[in-house]
Amino acid sequence: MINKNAQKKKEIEDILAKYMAKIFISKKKRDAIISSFLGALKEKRLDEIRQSLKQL
Amino acid sequence: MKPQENFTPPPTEIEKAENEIVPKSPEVVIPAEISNEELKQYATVVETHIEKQATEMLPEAERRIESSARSMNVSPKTMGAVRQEQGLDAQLNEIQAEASQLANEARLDIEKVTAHENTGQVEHGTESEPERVSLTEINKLIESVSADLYDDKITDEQFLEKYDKPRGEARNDLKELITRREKEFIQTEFLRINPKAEVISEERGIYAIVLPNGEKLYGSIYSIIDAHENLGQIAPLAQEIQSGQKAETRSLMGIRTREGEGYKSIIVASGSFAQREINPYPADLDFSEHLDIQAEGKAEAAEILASLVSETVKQTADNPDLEFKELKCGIYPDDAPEAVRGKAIKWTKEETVSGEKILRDTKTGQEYKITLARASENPGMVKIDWLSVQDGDLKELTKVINVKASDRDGREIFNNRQKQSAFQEVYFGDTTEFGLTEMLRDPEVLKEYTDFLKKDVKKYSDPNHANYLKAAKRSYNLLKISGDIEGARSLAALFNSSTSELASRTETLSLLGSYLGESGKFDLARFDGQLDKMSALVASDKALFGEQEQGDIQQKLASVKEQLFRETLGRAEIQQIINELVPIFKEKFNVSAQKYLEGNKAFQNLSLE
Repeated sequence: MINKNAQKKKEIEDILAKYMAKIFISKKKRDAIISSFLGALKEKRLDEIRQSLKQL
Repeated sequence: MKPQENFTPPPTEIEKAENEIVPKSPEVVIPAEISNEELKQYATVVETHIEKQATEMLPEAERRIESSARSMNVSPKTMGAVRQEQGLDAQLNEIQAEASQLANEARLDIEKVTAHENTGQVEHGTESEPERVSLTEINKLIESVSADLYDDKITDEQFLEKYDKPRGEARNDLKELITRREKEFIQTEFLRINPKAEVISEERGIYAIVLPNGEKLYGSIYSIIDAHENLGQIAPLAQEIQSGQKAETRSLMGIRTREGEGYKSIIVASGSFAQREINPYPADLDFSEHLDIQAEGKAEAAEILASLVSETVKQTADNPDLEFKELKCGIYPDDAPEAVRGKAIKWTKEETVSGEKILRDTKTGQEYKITLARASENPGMVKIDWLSVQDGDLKELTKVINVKASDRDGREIFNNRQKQSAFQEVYFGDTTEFGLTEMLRDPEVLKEYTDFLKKDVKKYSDPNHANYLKAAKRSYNLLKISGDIEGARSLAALFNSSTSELASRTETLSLLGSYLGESGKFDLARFDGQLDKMSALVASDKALFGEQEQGDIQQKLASVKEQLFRETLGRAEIQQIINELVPIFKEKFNVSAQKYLEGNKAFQNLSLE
């Protein structure tokens, strides 16, 4: 008789690898959203600074 | 046994290969032999690890944004404006929903692996080996035990002798089995087939689908599996007919529990109208309202119900897309004329608004008066019917009010709630406080619903009451609640076909025919598009209509359309043309649905005993 729990543990390891890969992709997407947002925020801030400089 | 800290997830071969993209898991010591307990601990650690990664998705994003914004010296006002401009919240919510869903899926996958961990220990011979029970076996067990459990002819002693346990215990076992079927066979399918699926609470049986804007539709597993995100579009309508204050916003967020003096209410989509995922052609619009009333006694509770009903009818009177048809509320009491005693009381708009109905006893000639408040003391089925114009189609819109009235100590005063309705209800918000989804795990509620479905399938498959589309709809629900999602979905192809569209359009045409006999408020020209859509359907379906037939029908539809504008023919003549067309269409979709069912394996194998 073999200990089937070792096999089950291996299956759980595979599940972990699979979902960590998927979550990693989600994180990449999130990071892209953050970058794009921060880019827009930076632009807006620069605009504000330019406006202030003009008024000076 | 190794201590728990040794059971952190190890790097696997796949992870090694994916090392570039996957963050490393914590280190682990692999034991030579693994006990059930150790496996369980390992599974928990992995589950927690994945869940932590998922739940951190949004907070981590916020921390990074906040830190960058601080270094840029951005004002909160600018920050808010850019957030909105960029749609940041919706985008991040979507990512968070995606991650939560992944964590749920991972948990379910792990549960599948660990569900039968005992089988791994057979060599020790110390633990029993549970059998993997198939869906067929679970269904047989639920059905046969439920039948005996609620059979009055079987005494408690006989039951105990047969099952070796008292009724109460058997009931709890059944509840567990129903929950297990829900999780193993329906929830798993739901998460597999719907990328927007989410488990809200396994314990309470609440599930959701996430809409593109991050909002959610909720329901029991049985209803949410058939819900479609386009139900979100009816938010304004749902708010309009909900008891209480007028609609506040036009979004889904505006639909919420409304609370007023002595009551709280939620509005939900129900029936096949709530099954947009499988049935894009619902014939009418069905809503349910769950109303909880708290009052001193019966009279006060009835007053609240009557005033809410009356207010809703007044409130919707100005809506250009709604026309009140009828209210059903109360049962004629013993002092009513003999001819109506015990029957449901129907109210016109004027009677509902004034809160009073007067009729003359044809036998004695005496006048009989009843108020809406008194009728509400024994409400029976409370239902408001409207006619509604939706996308140019005339449709019936119904709201059934499920009301539960209790006194301040929580004692029930009256309750007309149909518990089984939650099998087909989709909620626009979290309805936890109403405890609707939990009821569906009650074996008695499930049995009542199953019996009702079986009775209807038999009835509508009988040539004397033939309505094969209805038989198919009931069969679909029967297969679904018994966990046979594949069989159910094989039937659902019928609902997404021209047969089903024809049935729905015939219903609206028939409704238009009846409307012509009334002096309603809708301008008839509004139904121009409805006739065009019917005409296009007839023209496009060569399987249902022969060439000659197509020409004849289209000519008649064109004549109805023309007359709706000009009214050179009297309304009665237009009605006559519609009345000729309706039975032709009915025959067509009925025969087509019958043929479909004859060739459907799931339907043919359905057990109706």
